[in-house]
Amino acid sequence: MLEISGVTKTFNDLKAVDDLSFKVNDGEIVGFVGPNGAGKTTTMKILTGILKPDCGTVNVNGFDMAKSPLEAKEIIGYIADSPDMFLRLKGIEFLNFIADIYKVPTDVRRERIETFATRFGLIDALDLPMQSYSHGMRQKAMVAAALVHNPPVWILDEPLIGLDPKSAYELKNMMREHAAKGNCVLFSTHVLEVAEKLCDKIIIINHGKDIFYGTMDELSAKYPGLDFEQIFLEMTGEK
Amino acid sequence: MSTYTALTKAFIKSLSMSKSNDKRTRITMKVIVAVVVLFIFVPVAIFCSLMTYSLVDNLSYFHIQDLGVAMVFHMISLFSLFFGFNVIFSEFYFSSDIEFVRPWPVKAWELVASKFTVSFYVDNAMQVFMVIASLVGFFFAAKPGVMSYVASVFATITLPILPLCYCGILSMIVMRFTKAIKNKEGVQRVSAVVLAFLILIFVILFRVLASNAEDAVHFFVTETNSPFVEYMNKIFPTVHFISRAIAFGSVTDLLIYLLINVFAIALMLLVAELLYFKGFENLVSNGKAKARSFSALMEKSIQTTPFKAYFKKELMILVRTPSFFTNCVIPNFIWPVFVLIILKMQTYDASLTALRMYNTNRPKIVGFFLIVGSVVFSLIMTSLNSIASNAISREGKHFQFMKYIPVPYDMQWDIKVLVSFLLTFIGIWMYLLPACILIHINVIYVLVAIALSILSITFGSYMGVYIDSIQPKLVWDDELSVLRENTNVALSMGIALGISIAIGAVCYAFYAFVKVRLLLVSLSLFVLLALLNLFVLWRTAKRGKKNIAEQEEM
Ligand SMILES: Nc1ncnc2c1ncn2[C@@H]1O[C@H](COP(=O)(O)OP(=O)(O)O)[C@@H](O)[C@H]1O
Ligand SMILES: [Mg+2]
Repeated sequence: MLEISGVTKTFNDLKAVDDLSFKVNDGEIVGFVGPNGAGKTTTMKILTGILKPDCGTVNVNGFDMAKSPLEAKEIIGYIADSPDMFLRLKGIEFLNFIADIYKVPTDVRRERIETFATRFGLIDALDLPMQSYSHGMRQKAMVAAALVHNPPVWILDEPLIGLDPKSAYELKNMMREHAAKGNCVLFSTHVLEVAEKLCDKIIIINHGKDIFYGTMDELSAKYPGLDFEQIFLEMTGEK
Repeated sequence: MSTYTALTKAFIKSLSMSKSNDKRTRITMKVIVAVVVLFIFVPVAIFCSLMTYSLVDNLSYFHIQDLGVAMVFHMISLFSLFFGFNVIFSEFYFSSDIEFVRPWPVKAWELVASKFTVSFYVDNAMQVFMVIASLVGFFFAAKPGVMSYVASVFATITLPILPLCYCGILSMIVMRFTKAIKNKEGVQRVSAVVLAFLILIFVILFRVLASNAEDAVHFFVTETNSPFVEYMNKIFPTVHFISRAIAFGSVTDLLIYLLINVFAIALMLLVAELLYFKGFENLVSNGKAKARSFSALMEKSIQTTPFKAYFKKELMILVRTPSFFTNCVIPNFIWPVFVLIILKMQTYDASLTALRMYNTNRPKIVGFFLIVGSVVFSLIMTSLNSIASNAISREGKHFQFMKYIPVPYDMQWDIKVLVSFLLTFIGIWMYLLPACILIHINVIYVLVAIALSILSITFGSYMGVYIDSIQPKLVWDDELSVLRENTNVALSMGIALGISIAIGAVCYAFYAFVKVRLLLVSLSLFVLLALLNLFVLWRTAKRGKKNIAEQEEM
């Protein structure tokens, strides 16, 4: 369960997130949609404890991010928006490093690394430095690392960017499987079709404010006769 | 042969194509070239000329003027050998055009021959310059005949062939039989380390020689020959013959010289036939080999504590990033070179026997200098390697990683301090401790010095990380700029230097004007360092975590 309530974040004079509240329940996939600069990344950084909100609270499975940050961070799997991390390490070293940080036991990590490496086609690359990876491969390594401790809460910032179709398909399946097991997934995207197909609920934000929060059916009911893309452009005022 | 010519032409063309077309870069390049010529080429050339001139001038008196030429040529050959590695390795194994050519039906020797030619073409400006400069010196000192001029022309063009052949053969052996080098950065790293150690050996050799000035001179020249040249002739036999050919205008020597060069090239090409292509197999391991090693990778995937894992990651980043490696890691281990150079420039006798004698006569003064010296040196070294004062900035773009992992900030902080501490401490004492033992310094003094040095390094490290945490430089393009442009590095160096100067001055005043009271000095240093440590630990506890938590520039 992931809950954010009354969160505001200002950079200098800019309100990047403005009194935002929503909740992702266990078993749900929630899409976080909005135009560039809407405040998606900032919100996710607040959810993961990277940024401190000016006001408001973040609650992860009952742990308050301000009061018990370590417990909260332990149950989150986060994929940042840029995958260029620790390029001097080999893929396998990176995965083991992250697994150590999250205290994943030896046999469990071996099984998970094998699963991810097989599903993402990373096996041949594991023993190479990540500097030699393409953008997509780096992104895959990031996904594998973020999920290697099997966190109950997934926070994924534009996770599909740069992935080849097969890997994107795998990741989407993983998200569904994960939610089906009673975990929660929040992911941001600006690819509307993905959100449409994958999500139980969506949150649309613009200028840091949420302008819609609910199921796809509720959204269509609100704007009869329009497809999702038209609705989105209508709501964000870019039409 | 035509394959060879075609390949060589293509390689040289691809060299000139990779040059930048951007106007600004071209102007910058021109400026750099001008600076290099003015401040390196010209002084080196003048040095070569003068040295050859005076050697030949003096030695022709004994009719051994060839030794003068030989000495300078040996030095130039050594120079080619050292700097050739990088170029040869990169050209043979890591240039991008190799990838295109390898699938073609080209013979190994043809490929190596043309790559060798290209390296020769790229790498030789400096050597040619040095050879010409020393020949000018020679012609002023001696009045040689026509044959000497002919031999000189050959020397100018071909002197670096033998050293570069050595580089070529060695590179092929290394690539065939070891897995030490996997990419260009690996080459640079290895050659940096090799160069550092060679310099160290040379300086030590010089020290040993200089401890007895007469022996030293005799090592280079006696009245009939030169042991130095004789040793070196075994390494570069070509130099022996070409310097005789130039000095005495001897045709046979010139012919032998040319024969040896041909032989060296032939040997290299033979080695190429045997080893060159196989060397790539180590480099580009194919999918099958990888799949087999997957189980091996899994075998090595064993859980460790977050502390150890984070520590290992910090070390790997420092060692594997070339600019961090050369600026943060290497200095800890090559400082004796600089100490020896400084000692060399001083006039007093610093040979082991002299130091031992001094220690027996005045143990307290030696102890005093050891204790104060190791405190000051530890402080300076800690800030100089900037492992601590760059610890947060080093994270750069992925600084946020520190914040979303479930590892307490103070643990991450302590690990960064620990890395700085260990590298500095080991680097200092792996040399200083054996030196103390060799000089027979009182064990108590050594222990006190170690204890105070530990306090010194912990203070320096905690201070460095703290200063860097206030406003880390997180936005940078390459790793060198984060070292050069990070004001935190400069600031903590300034502070360390200030404290060092203060400690040094006060202690020196004690030494010069009051009696040396070791106990008092040690105790006051202990109290001072303990207070400094407490202060910086208090600041860290009070503000350190907050500095990281509140840092939002990313
Ligand atoms: N560290 C920062 N300092 C100042 N402004 C920032 C910072 N991070 C984000 N912003 C601003 O906040 C707004 C929201 O950005 P972001 O959350 O990255 O949007 P999104 O991910 O939805 O594209 C943008 O206008 C951006 O310029
Ligand atoms: Mg974003």
